[in-house]
Amino acid sequence: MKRLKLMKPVSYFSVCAALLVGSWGCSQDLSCEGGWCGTLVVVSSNEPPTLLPPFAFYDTHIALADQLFWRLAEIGPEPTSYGHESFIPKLAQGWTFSDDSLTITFDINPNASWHDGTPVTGRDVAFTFDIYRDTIVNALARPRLDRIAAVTAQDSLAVAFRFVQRYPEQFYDAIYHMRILPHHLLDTIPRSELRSHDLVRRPVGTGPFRFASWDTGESSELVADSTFFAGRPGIRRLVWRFGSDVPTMVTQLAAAEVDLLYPVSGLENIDRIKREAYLRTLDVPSNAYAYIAFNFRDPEDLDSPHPLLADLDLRRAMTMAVDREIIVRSVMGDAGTVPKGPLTSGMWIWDDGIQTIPFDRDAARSLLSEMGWSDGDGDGVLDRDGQSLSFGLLMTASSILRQRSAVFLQEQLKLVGIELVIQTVEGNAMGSRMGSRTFDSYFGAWLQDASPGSIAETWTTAGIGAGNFGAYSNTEVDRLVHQARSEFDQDLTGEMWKQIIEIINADAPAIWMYGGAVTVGIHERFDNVTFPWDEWWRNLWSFQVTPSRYIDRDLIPLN
Amino acid sequence: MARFLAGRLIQAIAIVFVVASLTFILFRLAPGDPFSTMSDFSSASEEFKDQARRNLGLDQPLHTQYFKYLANLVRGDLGMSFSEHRPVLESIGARIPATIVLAAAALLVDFLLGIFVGAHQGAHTGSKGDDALSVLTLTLYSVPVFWLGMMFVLLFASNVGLLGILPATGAKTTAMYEHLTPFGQMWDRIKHLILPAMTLGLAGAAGTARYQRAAMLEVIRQDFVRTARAKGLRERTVLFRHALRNALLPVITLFGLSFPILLSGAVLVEVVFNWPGLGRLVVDSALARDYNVVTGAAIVAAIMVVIGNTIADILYRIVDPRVRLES
Repeated sequence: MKRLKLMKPVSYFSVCAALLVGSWGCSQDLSCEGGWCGTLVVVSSNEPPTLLPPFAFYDTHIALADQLFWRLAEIGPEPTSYGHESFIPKLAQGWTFSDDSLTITFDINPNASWHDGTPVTGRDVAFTFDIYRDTIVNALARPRLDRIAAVTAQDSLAVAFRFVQRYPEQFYDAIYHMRILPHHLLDTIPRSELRSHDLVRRPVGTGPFRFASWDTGESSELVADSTFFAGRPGIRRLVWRFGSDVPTMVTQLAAAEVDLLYPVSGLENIDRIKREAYLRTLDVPSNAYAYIAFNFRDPEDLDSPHPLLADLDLRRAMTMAVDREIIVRSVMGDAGTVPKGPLTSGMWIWDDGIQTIPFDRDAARSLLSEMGWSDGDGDGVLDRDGQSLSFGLLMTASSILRQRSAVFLQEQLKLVGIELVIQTVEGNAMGSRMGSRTFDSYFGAWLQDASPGSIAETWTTAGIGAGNFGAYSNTEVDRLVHQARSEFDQDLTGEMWKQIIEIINADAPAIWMYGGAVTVGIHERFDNVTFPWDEWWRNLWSFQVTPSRYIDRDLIPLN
Repeated sequence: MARFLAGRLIQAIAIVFVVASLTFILFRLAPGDPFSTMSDFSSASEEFKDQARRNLGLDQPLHTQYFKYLANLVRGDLGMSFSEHRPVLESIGARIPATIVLAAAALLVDFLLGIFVGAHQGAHTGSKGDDALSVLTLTLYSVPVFWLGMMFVLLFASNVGLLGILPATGAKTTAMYEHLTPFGQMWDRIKHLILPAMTLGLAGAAGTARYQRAAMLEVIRQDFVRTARAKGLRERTVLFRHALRNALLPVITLFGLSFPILLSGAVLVEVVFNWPGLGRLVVDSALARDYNVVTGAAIVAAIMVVIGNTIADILYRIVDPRVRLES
């Protein structure tokens, strides 16, 4: 038998060298047709289950879906939910109110079309409303559409929204919660199967980008629609990578594997991004705020008030005892701000003059002393009638900022003799305990949309059982909220909301910790970079790459 | 052989039943459900959550859900993923190739390196090289896998590493991959595989080397090795053809047991390297209380263990003809 002749070392070297050389020359033609290039790679955690907007739950889900599906109109640069004048047309090119103001008729832009070429029609809009209202679909936005009685297509390019009553946020409710869906593709799919239908993982939309591919666990790729009716997107390709944890996503950004991370949490991560010459950080407004909410009910007996935290003076003393400016600077750096209540500065009802409980540690000590709290046994924790001033803080380990802030908070409360016991649990256990109200306090965060209605969900009596887990209740707040939401004079409404926020602040149902701004990490080659306050992803399609700074992935052809 | 395989199949069915039942029941005892995490950050009402529970049948009694699950399982239906909105088989099927590639590459590193190092140590016991390798393998064995992965990134990854020669994360280059030549795509996949496979494999290799060293030490003192040397065979032949072959038996057992360990180690490695495998899916699903995916993944892991042990038994037969599969 003839023995196989082994290759000489030189031959091995040649093969290896050929492999290496081959690997360098392995990209197919990369070019920049018509001077239009650019690939933006965004990284975020939380891979969406589908790309169909009604099924989106977290903001990272809707962020991707919003690149494919557009609304009828959009909030303008002036982020108000009031009236209709400041809104800008999207799929609709205009709108009119009926004489009784109970009907809004939208004229659909005749140039708007689905990515398969089918024109967008009034029937699509009526179908969309039907989908969002369907209990089987169970869209998160369903309750927000309660006051819309019907949506009917008038003709192919007109659709009418009929409301059950007249109110200031009618227009906002009509356009904000729904992204228009394709009737011609989804109508024949039973609603119970819609969520898992193949089409929801390769959707056909109306937005500036078309769906291209989705590799589960890795990324989803969208390509720009060069014939998009609202103008050609600034970049040719948008890739959404699904990351795992924050450090890994920061590594991906630092390694230039991705271009954009929103937000970058943790000062050490921000510093790491700042060190890379090809990256830059931006402090941008955000719609999230974080807070420590107190439980007004006794976790052992929900019909009784909380033995400690139902006491207004104690809550006020704790708020006074915490130097939140220091905490925010320590965990967020320059980007951090202390909220002036349950709202962020981007919201239109924001007022710099909102009254808050100021930091005053001595006053906090005095107040606690007046209440009869003293450290009788010298253990550093105040006592009264045999009860220690100690309570638990429920939180998850998922947020770096919350973890670090909680430790600072614990230290600051200790300085006035209050013991805060941090109870870190995973998200489901926390959700379960929040739902059953078996906690003393919890570290929560809230994402606001442009409507002050989100404050009502969390801090009114009606919100108990929904976002108001601490069961805070003040009849004056309830009354004013009801009044403010039906007042048509915007200035007057603003005043009312200011009053509402100040009453809530005085009641101290929570300590407002941080919010209103975040740090974003982005590759320096991008221009025209803006992040709207309420939806940071809305303008991604207008980003551009400076031609002199193209990198290989910017030059990938459209296919 | 057929009887052996039939026996293993019956065993596998029993194991799958037990694993599916235990996972189904125990996981549902954990606090919360797929919708309880929605409390934080969102305005999901109780009505929304209750409707979602009804839509998924989670409002039914546990025993009803359990028997429905078993009935579907018999038909090969692992149910729907609550968090991905698609059949569990599809969810797992989309992730398992990446995990198999990673586990296979890690196994290769683990056993090739582990056996070689262990055999070398066993053959040169007491030497300086043996001492040095003992320190190295014990150190590697003690190091947490995720830390080792992070160190590799700092050392080798492009732009962020000292040497900057390998991709930091992922299984392929984002966006560019589709536009590479077939050879370029293959090379791209290999480059992305090196760091995670080395991380997972090296930690395992350290353990394998310890086992292999001990086995080699035991075998090398036996009479048949002395006889082989007395016959004038070359030392290399004595060590690799006679001693190592006999010293492989304990390591083969280790091979059979490595599958589930690799799977659990892969969870951490997949997070550090953002590898799109089953481990990350299981972690995400466990946190999201996606019962069906976690139970489905547990079943897949159980099947992998059975396969691993079956392969180990077959390897026993190949390495040591005295072993009969029927026994």
